[in-house]
Amino acid sequence: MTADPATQAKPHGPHGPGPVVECRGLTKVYGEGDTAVHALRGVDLVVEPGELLMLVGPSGCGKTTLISIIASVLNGSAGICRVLGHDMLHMPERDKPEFRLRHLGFCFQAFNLNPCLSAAENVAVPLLIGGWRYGKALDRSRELLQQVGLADKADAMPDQLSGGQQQRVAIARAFAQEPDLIVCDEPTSALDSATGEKVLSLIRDMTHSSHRSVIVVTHDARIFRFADRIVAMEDGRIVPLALGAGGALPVAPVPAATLLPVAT
Amino acid sequence: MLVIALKTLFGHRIKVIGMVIGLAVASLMMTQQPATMLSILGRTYSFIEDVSQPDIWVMDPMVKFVDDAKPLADSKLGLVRSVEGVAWGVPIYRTGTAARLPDGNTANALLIGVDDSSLIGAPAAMISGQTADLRRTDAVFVNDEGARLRFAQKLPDGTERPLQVGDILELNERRAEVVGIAKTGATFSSQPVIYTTYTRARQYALPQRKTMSFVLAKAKPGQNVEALAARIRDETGLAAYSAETFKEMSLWYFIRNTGILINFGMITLVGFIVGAVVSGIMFFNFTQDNLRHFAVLKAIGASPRQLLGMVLLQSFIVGVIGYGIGVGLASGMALISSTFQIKFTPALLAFSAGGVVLICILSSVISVLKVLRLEPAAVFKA
Repeated sequence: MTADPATQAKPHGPHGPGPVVECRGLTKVYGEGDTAVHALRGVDLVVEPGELLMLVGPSGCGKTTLISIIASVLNGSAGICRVLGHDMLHMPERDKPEFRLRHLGFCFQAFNLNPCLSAAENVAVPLLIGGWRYGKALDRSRELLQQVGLADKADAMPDQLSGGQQQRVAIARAFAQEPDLIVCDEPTSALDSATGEKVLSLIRDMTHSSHRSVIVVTHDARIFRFADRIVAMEDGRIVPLALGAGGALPVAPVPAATLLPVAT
Repeated sequence: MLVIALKTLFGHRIKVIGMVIGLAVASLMMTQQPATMLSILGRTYSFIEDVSQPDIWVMDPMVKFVDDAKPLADSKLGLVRSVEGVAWGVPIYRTGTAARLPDGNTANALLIGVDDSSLIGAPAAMISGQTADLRRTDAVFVNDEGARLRFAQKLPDGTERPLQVGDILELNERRAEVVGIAKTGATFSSQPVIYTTYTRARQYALPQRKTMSFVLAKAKPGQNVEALAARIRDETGLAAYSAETFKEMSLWYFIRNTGILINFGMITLVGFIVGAVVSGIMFFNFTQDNLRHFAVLKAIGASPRQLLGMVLLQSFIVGVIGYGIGVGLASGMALISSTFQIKFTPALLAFSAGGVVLICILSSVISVLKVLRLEPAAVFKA
């Protein structure tokens, strides 16, 4: 008989020493022969514990492919990709769902809330997948919704929430299982400027307070200031990030400049 | 997970209603049509079942089914009785007649004459009256269905009343008093059945040289019925079958020589196909609409087994609801046409339940494959 997952609390700041993500010479090729598309052409990337890293670059540069491999929802072609010490390129398919459930959280561009479930139930989804009892999972969901400022919306259905509120529900869902790494794909692209900033502020606060790592894929220059570090991509490669005049953050990544850490 | 599956399912009310209707129609047709067919086919041998005592039916060799009685000479009775292993043998007479009702109307009926002394061949179950009443002067029994339907009398106020004990019929210009209402299986042609003694039946019927339709024989204790039937055939030159064999002969005669099996089978098959197609399309659409949510679950960490469980649970739930409604409707229809004596046997209900399960499996197979093959990376596409 397995123990109740609800009682198996993970230690805070879960991951041990070493980087959360480590990619070396990571490549991804779609198709073969003349029709082959090289989505990643030898990516080197490290994400440290507690870091909020933003991955920026034009459409089609390979950002989504990279986070998909890191999130173990896509297989890389060659190179190294270690997440929390696990080799993503050689992890058996049958182990991946459990790995994602235990270690990863997801935040999507389109929120991806189930319209048939209330806000609290949507947040509870990862817990229910993990075997929590419905009642306990909902209790935990309500706590998380309180953290994202939606305690009074726990029973609301997604279509009764604004875009910003839906994304906050999605953030609460991403943090539900206390993951080591949260992967956010364009979390603000469907939100207005002010709401987008609030959402990123929330992600940053929750990340830093729990010492978890976050990778945010974004085009949205307005939220660059929330990053601990920004990494630019172009044509399947990591490229240096150029600063604007006077050291200002770039409106868009510019190649052939220096990759710099961004002060928070 | 099951909560997610159920809430997602019932969150799509229109599609659920569509799936349930498809399954209910299939369930209704797969229950009602075979039940009707079995009811009709059961009538082909109901007379053999009603005459329950004899082990062996002896008849003219050209007889193909129970309604095909060809008259035998009375002397054949002695031949059968003389076969070693026969405990007793009695004659039974079966012919058509026209009955004049108390209100002046006439109706065709089946006239059965049973052994005068033993009354073997008389119906075993009586609704009113007793078997011994058949010994009374001009006494006849009428079967329940005949009394309620064809023999019902129109009253001056326009209403109908069933034939009752005490009513007088006229058979071939002879008086016949109803002394009992018998509970028997309906006949294939739904004709009323009149029971009387063998001698009286001969008086009621039109004059014939040969009148005996069958000899009903009982095997002595310890006798093998099939072996005895074979011995009767050998020694008398007549056909002799055990009651079970004769039932099967009658049943298969009707199956082979009528379109009953094919027609009802086709309607049942159409019900199955319609249910499978409607439910399958609806269920596939439902899954298709929710692929993104399945992808999210997969990305978050739901195992293939959990996703499979969700799809199968959704399919099972609509299956149970659809089956329940379908069988309920079939029962309702059977109640409305209660004169038809449709019976839903456990085997029949299991058959239609099996059909619904098969539809659910077929409907969900494509959806299951779609969900299991789903790339979780799809969640990163806007």
